[in-house]
Amino acid sequence: MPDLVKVENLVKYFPVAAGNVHAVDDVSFAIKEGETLGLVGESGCGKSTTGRLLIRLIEATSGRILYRGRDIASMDKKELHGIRKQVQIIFQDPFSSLDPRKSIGETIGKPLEIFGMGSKREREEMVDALMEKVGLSPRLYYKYPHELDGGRRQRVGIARALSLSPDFIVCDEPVSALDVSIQAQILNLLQELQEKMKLTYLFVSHDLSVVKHISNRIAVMYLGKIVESAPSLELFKNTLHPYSQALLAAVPIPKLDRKREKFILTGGVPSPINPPPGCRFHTRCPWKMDVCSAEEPPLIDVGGEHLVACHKVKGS
Amino acid sequence: MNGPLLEVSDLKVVYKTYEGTVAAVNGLDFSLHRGKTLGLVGESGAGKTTTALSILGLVPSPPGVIESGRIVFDGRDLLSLPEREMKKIRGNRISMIFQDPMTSLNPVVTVGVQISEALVAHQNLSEAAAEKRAMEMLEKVQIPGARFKEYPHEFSGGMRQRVVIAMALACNPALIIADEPTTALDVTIQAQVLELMRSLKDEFSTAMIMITHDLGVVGEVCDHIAVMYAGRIVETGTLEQLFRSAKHPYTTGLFRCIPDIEEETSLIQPIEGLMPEPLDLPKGCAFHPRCPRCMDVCRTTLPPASEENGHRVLCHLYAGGGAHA
Repeated sequence: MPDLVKVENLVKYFPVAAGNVHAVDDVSFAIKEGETLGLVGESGCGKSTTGRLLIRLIEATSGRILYRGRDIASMDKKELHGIRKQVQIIFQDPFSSLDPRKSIGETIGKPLEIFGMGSKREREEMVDALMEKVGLSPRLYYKYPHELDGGRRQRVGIARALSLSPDFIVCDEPVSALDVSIQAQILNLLQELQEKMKLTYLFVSHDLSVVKHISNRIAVMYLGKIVESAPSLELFKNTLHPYSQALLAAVPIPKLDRKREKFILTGGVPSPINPPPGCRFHTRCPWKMDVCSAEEPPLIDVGGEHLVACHKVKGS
Repeated sequence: MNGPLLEVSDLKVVYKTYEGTVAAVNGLDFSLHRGKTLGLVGESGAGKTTTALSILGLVPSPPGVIESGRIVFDGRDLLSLPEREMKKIRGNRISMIFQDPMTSLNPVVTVGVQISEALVAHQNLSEAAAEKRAMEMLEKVQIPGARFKEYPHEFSGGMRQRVVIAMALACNPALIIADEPTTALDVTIQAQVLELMRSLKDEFSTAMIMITHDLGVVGEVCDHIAVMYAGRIVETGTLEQLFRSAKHPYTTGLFRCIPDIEEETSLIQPIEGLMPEPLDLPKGCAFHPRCPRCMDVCRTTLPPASEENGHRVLCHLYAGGGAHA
């Protein structure tokens, strides 16, 4: 499968009084058509910023975002408007991402209206079809967001994202605000829709078990950098970067006999305003060597599409 | 004393709203022994937090009303105590850790003063002695005692939660109620805080009620589990009993909702439907509209409790060999 999205040397700095927040710092990756790339990391690692940059909700400081070979980052308003049909986003919080004064039907139909698709009557029919697709009862058409629970609201967000039949959807923590039983329903819905509509996802999440479940490939971010990326199974079987290992070991598992060994990191994430020199993880890394604080490790290929940025790991 | 530290029986708490009466906790029975940890598990609206607030005498009233029940702590029924007596218990013998460390700390008071407050109020310590003890407590939660004079915003999220833990432990309580203490934290920080809680609980031999929606967290720290659904405990037992042989369809459903991180392929099977409307709970077993094994009797009759070696389940499937007319 060809690459649908290709990101090259993406950088985003947010200027603040104390300097620049290095939110995303030289990140490159590609997403193949029809696959799900999971972007995982802890708060402040830059995963959501990356998602928003990709569909240009915020402007990149530098770097290229190629969508089917065309650079989204340098498009003018008119070109961008054309692309908006094909790239969509589902937000984390189903409460703040819906307009409280718009009915569910209006919200889902808004993108259709903006792009002047069909007559009013036809749009209503399209909205009905979309609601059915995401498992919302048509009697909710005239309801308002506050009358719906979190799971249904998230379905509205999904229906809105699907309304223009996009190819690519950024899912920004789409299940984090939901209860586990509802979370599972939404995950299954997203997978079902992907198969039916040949969608490509960038799935941003802090939850490793969710990311593993839904992704074909996973990229792990730490302080604005991708430290490791690999096909999903490979990443879990052969975890190379010490940060990925710590992240995996930290996940509490509802089982009596866990296979993984305990491995608890000390300290917290350093400030992204003055990220540590060399490898950004060296301040917390239990295997730190002298070179780690001096030189930034490059992202090297260890074979089988498995990339890792760590001085301890030698390339193939 | 050999009896349980805490014994809750037939607790019923309702919220009287304009739209009607919400039964938040609907006949709760459980007990907790000294030094043990009980995980109270359930989804939003199950009644976990209301249970915690009832024990502390903090149910907001109005609209909350404790309709019936007994909460016996250390031999005394907390529900019959006057507020004056409750004040001596709250923060001293029973303390609470809330979910969000930023909102549970006072932003304009140094952490040191916040920790010593309880010591001055309950333990008759002089301010100097309380200060010294507060510094020791900070060291116990792995924060340098010298940071005593700093304000909450100067700490990271994980450190703030450790400050809250230091506050909760300062008076050496017999019981700590922790309401989703790690939900607001990142996983690597969550692992640190859970590890700390586990070791401090052993050191201080404190009993704990851990309220959480995360079965993984329960597995890390709890000895016993009680699963709540729509204001009732639908299943309770030891960690081993529930993790190895969960019985209630809701409990087994919860386990199947979580993708397995250790297996190559993971199938998830959602529980269909939604939490019932609290104003309009289904008749019979509240779980029956979502239950894959629902029988006729489930729609009409509240299931009786059946128990085997302390593993108690509220489900018609286990009620004396199936349905009774």
